[in-house]
Order: sequence, then structure tokens, then C-alpha cells
Amino acid sequence: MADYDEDKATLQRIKAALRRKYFDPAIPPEPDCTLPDGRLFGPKTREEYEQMLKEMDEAAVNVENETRDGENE
Amino acid sequence: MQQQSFASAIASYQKKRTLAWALGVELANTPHLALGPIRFQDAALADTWSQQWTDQSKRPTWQWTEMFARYNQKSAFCRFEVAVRVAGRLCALAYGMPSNSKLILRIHALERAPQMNPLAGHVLPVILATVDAYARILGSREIWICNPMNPRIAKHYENYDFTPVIGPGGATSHLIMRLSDG
Repeated sequence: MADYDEDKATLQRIKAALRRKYFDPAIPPEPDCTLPDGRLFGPKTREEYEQMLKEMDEAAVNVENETRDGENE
Repeated sequence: MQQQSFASAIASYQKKRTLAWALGVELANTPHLALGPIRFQDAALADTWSQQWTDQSKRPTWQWTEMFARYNQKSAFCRFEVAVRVAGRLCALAYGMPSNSKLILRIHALERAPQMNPLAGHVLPVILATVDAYARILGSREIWICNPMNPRIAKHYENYDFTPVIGPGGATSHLIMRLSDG
């Protein structure tokens, strides 16, 4: 619950900055609306896809450690 | 005991995603906008979108249903995910994953519905604000966008302070945004 409250406070603190950054009326619409492909980013080839999966595996959290940390709290 | 802790870790990340989605909705201020988890039926629907393009060379290599399976593995419980809906209509999907240390949040794929999409042209601000919010509560220092689909899209990210990283072939391999405090 403490984490949740802390997360909420973090978002409250940055809310105005995010609004300015991402919803600035001066930023034009993204160009994908004029392209025949709605995909904005992602792997274009099988090779890139395999690389993505590799990165995901590397990034996968060590579940055991994370839950053990939780137990120690 | 261990299982209970794992369940609480999963719940904790679900709450973080829910907070990020709620902020995305608030900031976008778009009527009938809803952000939430990607369900299997969303992934299956998104897999049909590529069939709506007549130019086969534009069709991507990945399958959302395949990604759904991968991102819903036990080890991916801290994933970023968002399904964007307006008035119940699925408009866009995105998946990402933080690094082990959480210092980098990588966004791996994003697609919008090609037709009848009220958010066409305005998908990125909604999703990037949500990504940014999630990254902040994870304590990440950078957001990476992997494999931008073309140079025009890559250029567009610079509007949001992303810096392109050029790969060995001369194309943009990914874009980085460093998160400042506050």
C-alpha cells in the first residue's frame, strides 16, 4: 500500500510536465496517418524479432529475487 | 509463502500499470477513451489488421498473439502493456519490457488500427505519456523505442525529446529518451 501511495504521489508530481511534453498542440499528428501501415514501431524482420525476444529474455526479472525481496520487506 | 509473495509482486505491477493507464486517460482528455490490459481477443483482432493493407511488403513479421503469449509468461510480470480503446473500439496496442535493473524501459511494438480509428494520427501522445508514467514509477532513467518502422516515424519521435541511435547499416536502430527529474 505504501508503494501504491508513493507511485500515486510520483505521478501527481509529474502530471503537469507530461501534459506539456506529450500534449503540446504545436506537435503535429504522427505521420503514420498518411502511411499505408499503422505500425509505428516494432521488428521489421525475423532477425529483429528474434533480437527482441532475446532482449526480453535478458530483461526478464529474476522472479525468485524479486519475490524474496518482497518477503524481506 | 513463496507463491504468495509472487502473487503480491504480480499485483504490485498490475497496480503500477493501472496507475499509468489512469494518468494517460486523464492527460489525453479524449471522450470515451479507455486504457487497459491487452486481452487475447485484442491480440487476435490486431493480427487481422495487417490483412487490411493491400501492399504486402508493408505487412509486418510479428504476430500480436505470439507476443501476447510471450508477454504473459511468468517472468514478464513487470511488462508494459496497453490496449487503447475509444467507445469500446480497439484503436492501438503496445508492449514493452523494463531491463532487469528497471533503468531502461524498452518499447518493442506499437500498432494502431488501420481503419475506422478515431485516434489515427494521435496515438503516440497517449501511449508515450503512459509509457513515461510507468517508467517514472519503476524508477527508470531511459525509455528506448526499438526498431522505428521508417525514417519519418523516427524523425517524429524527436518532437518528444527522443534521440535517434544510428545502427551499423545507417538506419535508426532505436531511439532513446533520458528521463529528467520532476
